[in-house]
Amino acid sequence: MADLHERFRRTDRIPAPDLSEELWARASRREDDTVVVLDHARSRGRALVAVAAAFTLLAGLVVGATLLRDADETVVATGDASWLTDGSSSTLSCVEEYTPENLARRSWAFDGTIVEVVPPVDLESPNPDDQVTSVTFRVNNWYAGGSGESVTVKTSNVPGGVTMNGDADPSIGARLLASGEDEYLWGCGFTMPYTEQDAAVFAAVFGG
Amino acid sequence: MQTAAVTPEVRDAFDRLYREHGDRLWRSLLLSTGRPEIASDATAEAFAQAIRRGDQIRDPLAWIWRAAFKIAAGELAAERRTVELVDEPIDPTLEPVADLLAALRRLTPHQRASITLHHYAGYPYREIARILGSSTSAVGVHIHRAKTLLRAALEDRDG
Repeated sequence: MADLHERFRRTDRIPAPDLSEELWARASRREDDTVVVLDHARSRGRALVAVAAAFTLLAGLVVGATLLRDADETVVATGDASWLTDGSSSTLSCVEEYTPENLARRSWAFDGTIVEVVPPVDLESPNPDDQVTSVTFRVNNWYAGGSGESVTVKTSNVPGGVTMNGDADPSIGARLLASGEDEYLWGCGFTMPYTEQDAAVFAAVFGG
Repeated sequence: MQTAAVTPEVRDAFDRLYREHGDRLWRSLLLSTGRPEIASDATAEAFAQAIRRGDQIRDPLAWIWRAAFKIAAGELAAERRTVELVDEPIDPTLEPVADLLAALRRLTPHQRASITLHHYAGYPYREIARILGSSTSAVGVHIHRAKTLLRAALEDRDG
């Protein structure tokens, strides 16, 4: 059997199309890049994009339109913080399953909006501090364990956005209900996109 | 979003970037998705969006690879919601890699992307993790499993 490398190398025999004119044509369109969510399927037509955006908004999966308009244009995309709130990828490392009873045991909890994301310095570094992501929130409401208008917490999750080289992360602008222990934000369902329903649960759990 | 002003220098820079890296990116996306049309759309769209952002992006090439793989993954996921790809015939123009593409269909999207970026595009694990928004250890696991599955699939086909 041919070596795997050789199998992959055969791909060079496939003629790639010349897209140089196409990319400049697209670049010159005054297209609304707010749909560059990139974590979701990209629709080919603007009509589909509009439908998808409307659906997304209606579903309450992203921050509201007002917040989107207020956000920096390069990040309007969404404030998609699924890399932080989606616990499915780290289920094996979940210490506890999310329930209101377990939420009540977290040492801090707040409703906040992401204003800065600093990816890990080096995932292979022997220094654990270099392997974590720092996330700064503008706090809208503390339910427990803190005070002040902003807070920076850590997470072992890695941003899934496309702008890890110093640009604004796509998750900036996302409003979350966050909770955790010490300086670490907890995933696994303990941190979630803000909804009034879940905010009521946080308020009830923490008596706030 | 405001389109950044495209000066002749910017145009030259992106033209050069596309000439030097466009084909490799397109072929990597082809292997990762099995779909020439998705590879073309993701490549063109990633470059176009990078051009619109202009100097807001510090490392355009790295940004383009990340964006292209995100776009392609989204499009492939959308297709999979309506079409079962496993038994679909492979485009005859892709004959030189037909067996590889067929074997790659047995892998998960992350496994396909990881092993393609490593074995075809030549990226180290750490850079693959950045492109895919994953961790280095996860990429290592994906590549290990992908190799095992690919070898088994290709041996089956080779008899």
